[in-house]
Amino acid sequence: MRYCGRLAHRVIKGSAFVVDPRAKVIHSLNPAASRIWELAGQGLGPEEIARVLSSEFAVSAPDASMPWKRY
Amino acid sequence: MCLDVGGFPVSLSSAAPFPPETRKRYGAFLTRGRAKLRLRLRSAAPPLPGGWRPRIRGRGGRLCCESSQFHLDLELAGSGAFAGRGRGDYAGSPQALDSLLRVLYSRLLPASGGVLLHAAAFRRQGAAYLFAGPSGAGKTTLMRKLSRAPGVRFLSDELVLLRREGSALTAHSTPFWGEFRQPENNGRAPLRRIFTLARSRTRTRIRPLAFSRAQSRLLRCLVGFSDEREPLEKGWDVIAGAALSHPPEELRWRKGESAESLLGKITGENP
Repeated sequence: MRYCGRLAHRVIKGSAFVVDPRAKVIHSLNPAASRIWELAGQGLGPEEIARVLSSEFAVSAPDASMPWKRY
Repeated sequence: MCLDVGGFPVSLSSAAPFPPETRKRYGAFLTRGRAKLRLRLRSAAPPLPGGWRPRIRGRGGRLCCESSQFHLDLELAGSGAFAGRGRGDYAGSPQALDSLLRVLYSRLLPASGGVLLHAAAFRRQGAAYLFAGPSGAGKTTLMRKLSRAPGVRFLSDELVLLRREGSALTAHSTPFWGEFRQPENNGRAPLRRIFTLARSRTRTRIRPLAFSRAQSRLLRCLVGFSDEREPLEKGWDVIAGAALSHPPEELRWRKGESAESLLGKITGENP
């Protein structure tokens, strides 16, 4: 997994912000989404991210991977 | 002529003289110093081939900025330096030159630790108070009101240049005014407080903003004509640094409130 090259992003005080400069849209991510964004930036794949999320957010790995399956 | 906005000088030359209004408009920002960024411009009949919205394309140290008002090819001396050479055309009017300069500064500042913000600002007792807000938020109206209060020196009612200077953040006047024209003003001051601006029908109040909301609001006020990721992220770093050291607050202000009362609340002298 890797970031879309045109998106600007920063993780500040644990919260990720993503901006699409072309669309002029700012996304402020919630804590779980911020963590996913951070882990994706470290090069982790969906299964590894689900494993980390399940340990950090007290959800089962299948639940944590649900968003990946949906999207 | 050499124009210095916020400590970032640019030298402008042209075979034909610049419009006479230009010297008046930029008078307080003209300097005899030498600039490392030098532009050679020609006056051309409008419209130029670009669209009404400025576009910037860049690769490496080369940039092309264009709109129906100007076309500029720039060769930058290096990343992070406000230096290089440029050549281009502008539509011959003060507005076209102003548009070119706004685009130029907004694109080049972030690499040097500065940004242009849609904001008003004033200085009082050596400190700057900044009010970020889009068009219609009341920046000009607020500055008109506050400039009548004692000890207030107006910095801008439209675009403020915010820059990192060592560990401090400084707010600078720009010649890019809104409707409240005070061309003799060219000031600067270290930043003390940041507000986002909104109107209130009932009473003036100031409240802290959640960090994520403050980020979103300030980012929307970042002047950027470019679709490029890197300048946006560098400008963002300046804004995030400002928001971390000076947590933004929301100022909802009532138009009928007296300048003295409003000023007291803003500066904290009379909350």
